[in-house]
Parts: sequence; structure tokens; C-alpha cells
Amino acid sequence: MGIFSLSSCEGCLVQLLNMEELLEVLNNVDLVDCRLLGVKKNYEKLNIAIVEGAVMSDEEERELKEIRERADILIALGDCACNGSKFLVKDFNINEIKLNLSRRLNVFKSHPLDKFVKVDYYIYGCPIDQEDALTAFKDILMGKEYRPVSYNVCAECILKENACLLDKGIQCLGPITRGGCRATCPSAGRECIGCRGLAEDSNIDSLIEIYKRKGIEVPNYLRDLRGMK
Amino acid sequence: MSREVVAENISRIEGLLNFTMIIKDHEVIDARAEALEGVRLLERLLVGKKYHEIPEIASRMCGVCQAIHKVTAVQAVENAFNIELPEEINMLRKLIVIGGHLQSHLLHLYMFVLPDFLGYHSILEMLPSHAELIRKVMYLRKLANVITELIGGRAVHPVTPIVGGLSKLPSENALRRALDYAKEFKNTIYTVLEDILSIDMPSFERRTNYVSLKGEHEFPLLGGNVSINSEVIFKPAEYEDYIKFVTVEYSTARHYVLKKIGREYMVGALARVNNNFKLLSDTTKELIKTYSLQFPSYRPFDNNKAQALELLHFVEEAIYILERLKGNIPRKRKASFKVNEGKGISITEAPRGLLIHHYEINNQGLVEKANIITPTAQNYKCMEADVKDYITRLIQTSDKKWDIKFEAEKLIRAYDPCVSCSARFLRQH
Repeated sequence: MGIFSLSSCEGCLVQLLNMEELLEVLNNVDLVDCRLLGVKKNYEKLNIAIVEGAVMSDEEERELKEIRERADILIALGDCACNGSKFLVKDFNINEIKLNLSRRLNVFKSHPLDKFVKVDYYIYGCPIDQEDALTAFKDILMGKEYRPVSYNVCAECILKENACLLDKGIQCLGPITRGGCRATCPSAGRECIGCRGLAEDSNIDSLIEIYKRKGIEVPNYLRDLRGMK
Repeated sequence: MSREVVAENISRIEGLLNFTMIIKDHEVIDARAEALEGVRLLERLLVGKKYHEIPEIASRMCGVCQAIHKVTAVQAVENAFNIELPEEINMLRKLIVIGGHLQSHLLHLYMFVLPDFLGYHSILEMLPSHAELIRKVMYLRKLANVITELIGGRAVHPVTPIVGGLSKLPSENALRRALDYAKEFKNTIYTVLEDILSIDMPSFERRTNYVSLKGEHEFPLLGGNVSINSEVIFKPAEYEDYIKFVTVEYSTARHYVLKKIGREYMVGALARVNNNFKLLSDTTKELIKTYSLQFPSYRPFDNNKAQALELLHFVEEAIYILERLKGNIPRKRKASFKVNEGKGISITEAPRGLLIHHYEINNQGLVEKANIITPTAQNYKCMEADVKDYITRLIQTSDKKWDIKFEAEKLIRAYDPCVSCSARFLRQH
């Protein structure tokens, strides 16, 4: 197994390092490449490559393609890798920003891995959820197909018996956002910020309707998001 | 003839960094810290965003010290709106941040630094021979994370700090558990501090300028004035008169110098302890005696030891706060405030040193300008000067064939650089 970081805050990797089960997982794999931990062995092929971070430069694009060449299974870790950090930042209609600062810095872009290579598994979130990631690793190590949950955050929020934030006039993205985070943010009394991307069958128009009905400001990015679906 | 030595993709630090040394006639004539990371234009991305989105996006500057980034961003917005908070809310936020500092210091000292001095390439290589120590370190990291999680809602990128206060107050039960975890942390950290404090680190000394917050009655963390060598003291709002950024051709990260003298400076645990060692807890002061450490210290490798001391000091502070909060949880979790046009600045102490967040917000509550100055960006110039001096001395004073690259890496790692958070470039006007 190899763990690689492209442009990111490396918070998802820190989430992995924070897992108590990490030592156990590492006992079951041969970690051959991980810069953060200082591991760099000689190897040709990888069974599993975990990649966190977005692709922001041509070098990173080349590096990613090399990793894909070597790896049987490629896992995208976190919102940067899965969606180019779009669900955290919410600039859905911006693909590139032109800069004219220096030779090295003329264009700013942030792309998900699957713009360039085939991704086998997606572990969503900013940051990833530890339990969700552990399920993914167990499934993948056992040769099972890992499937991220398809329902929305509300499904998990209701199970926690939280009072609905929309009723309090709070701009919560729970209804359209993919669950699997155990409704971490609403359970701490604050809005879901949508970091895990869209749930399957999410209905953005309906959320805009709810916002309007409850007198909640409709953020512009929701309309951009509608175009993305 | 000069030759170039490049330490490429330095491992066991956060983010990507190359370090180049130009050596001529037994002297390092140039040293350059080159951050390689794809530029994270977080400041640019913040422009046009609503004020409440700032802490969410700004905290993604760094995955290791996200807790302090979030709280600093929140405080900066509160400064723009002139929001004053009850002391108890600040204490709760301090607990969230202390959990973050503890896990960050543990990661750096035991997983990144220790292998250097024990002759291993990584912590994984240490597993067979140091299983007990590593298990303890993982356990300590868990305890630190739980403290942040109990009050912040999540260990990495905590969610409760919001503009005006906290989105949720912890229950009495959560505080009691946090206190148990903090005490357990204190007992356990005592058994592993020796592994760091007793290391014979290079005695290389080079006096520079040490910049940190200056505490009045307590060791500083989330506020106060800024001090240069305990001599010059300035208010957060005046930072632009004292700190100046310089762009360098070879790096995508900004570098910083002290404006008045045009010289490099150091931020971080060593600067903090140098400027505030009288305010450390009594047990921490005893440790200083036990291991014959001296502060102020001009040895950059002592940044590691200062971090180790802080592991004890900060957990004691957490215990102190938790005991004071017993039965004193504030009733109101959020202050009411009005959105207004304003400039907000917050300067705090991140695990790696002085952290500055500065936002200009319009009357719609939208960001017009953002300026974030991270500790690592401030340290680059100092790192370069230190490496130049240290390696030159090694080459000149010893017959031993030094592994120059490794020695330079060791020194750079002592600074605990965090490159992903320093590698931003664009300033939006």
C-alpha cells in the first residue's frame, strides 16, 4: 500500500493517523510509500494507492498518472481528491482563475482525481469520517465492494433525534448532502456545510423551496450546484 | 567551484519542501527553502464569501493545526464586529485549541523527530523495538483528540466555534470526562517526556529574534500583545508596522522579515518559552531544572524540547480550566451581534508559532480582503540562516564526514514546518 498527498491540508491523513485501529490496519498491509511518515521502500506495483488532495499543477497530474499506472486499486481520500474541494469551498462555477504573478503561477485550478484517472473508491468528506474510512478499509482489504452511503445527512440526523435546524431558520445543507458522517455538525448544533458532496437523488430545487418558505437566505451557489447535477 | 546539495521532498514534515544549499570552499554561501506545494489560494477563495464561511474555509489551511486556524478566524471576524465574549466561552475555546496543540506536538516529537535521533527512517521501523512507547503515544494522541472532540464536536476541524460564541455548550458530564482524560494525559505524558528531554541534541547556537505573544499573568495562547525578544511589544492591530513579507523567486510560499531591521525571526514553541518561561507551570519549571535546560535559549534544536515542556504545561492548563468550569458553564452560548463593515485582526499562538488572521468585511458581511500569515512562512528566513550557519560550522570544524543533507533535514524538522499552510501566495486587494 502507498499513501500519497497532492494539494491539500493533509487533514484526512491526520484523521487516518488518529485512528486507534491504525496499527492494526498497518499490521495487515505492507506500507511501502508514505512521505508524511518517512516511509519509502523500493517497489514496482501497488495493490492499493490512497491519494488525498486535489490536482493543482501539471506535476501533480503526472504524479497521479504514475501512481495509477502502478496501482491495482486507487482510493480517493476526502473532498479535495473526490471533488477538487468544491463542496467545501463552493465555487461551483469557477474552474480556473487566471493569475499573472510569475512563470510558475499563472493559473490556479483545483481538480478532482477522476478528471485524469480512473478512481476505484471514493471516501468523502472534509475531513473524512473515521468510522466511514474504517468500513471502507475493512471492505477493501477483504475484497468486498465498498459503497459510500447514498442517503442524506438528514437520515442520520433524525436517528440522533436532533431538532431540525431548518426550523430554526438556519441555512443547513443536510437535505441534499451525502450522509456517512453521523451528522457530526448538526449534532453539535450547527448547520451541515455540505462537505461530503451531493447525496444520490438529492433535490436542490426542493431545498431552495424550503429555504424560501422558512425565510432562509438562498445562497447563490445552490443555483450553480443545480447546473452541476 | 561551488556545489549544490538539495534535500528533496523532506519527509516527516507536513507538506512538500525542498531545501537547497550552495556550498563553496567549505562554506554554505546560500540556503533556500523552496515550498513546492500546489498553491493554495485560500485567501483568494475567501474574497466574496460570507463572514460565517470564513472559519470553515480558513481552517482548511492546515490539517494538523486546524483547531487554532478555526478559532483564530472566528476571533478575527469577532474583532471586526466588536464582539466581546464572556470569559467562560474563551476558556472552552482554549480547551479545544489545547487538545489540538497536544496532538500536534505529539505527532511532531514522537512520530517525526524521534526517529532522527534514534537512527530510524520512520516510526514504522521503530515499531518492533519501541512498541510500548508508540502505543503510549497513540494513546496520548487519542486523549488529546477526545478533549477537543468533547468540546469542539470533532477532533480534526472542530465544529462548535462559530462567530459570536459556540454552536453548542458541553454538558457537565462532557466536562467531567474531559477532566478525566486530561488527568490521564498528564500521568501518561510524564512517562514518555524523558524520551525527548534526555536526547543529546546538537548544541548549535545562533541568536536570532524571537517573536511570540507575551502573556501578562498566564502563558499566552489566544490573545494578548506581541513581543520581539521580550523587548519590543506591539498590539495585534499594529502588526503591519513590524512584520513585512518578501516574495522570493524560488518558492511559492511567502517569506517574512522584521520590518524595521529587515532581519529574519523565529516563531514557535522556543520563541514562546523564551519570551514567557516565567509563566510556565511549576511542574514544568521543575522539568527545566531536572534536565538542566536554560531559557532564553538560542539553540534552534531546543524548539523540540520547548514543545515537550509545553505538552506538560498545556495539559496542566487544561486541567486548571476544567476545574474552574465545574458548575460554571455559561448559560448563553452565543453573544448577539450586528454585521457591520470592519477590519478584524486576531493573533494567536498556533503549535508552530505566531498566527495572524486579518479580514476586511463590508456592510453586507462579505469578505473584501483576507491576509493570513502562518508560522512556517515566518520561519523560512530563519531556517535558511540557521542551516547556512549550522552546516558551515559542521564542514569547517570537524574531520568527520557529515551527511549534510540529513543534518540539514534534522534542523529543518526541529522547526516543525508545516508547508501546506504556508504555501499560499496571492494577496487580494
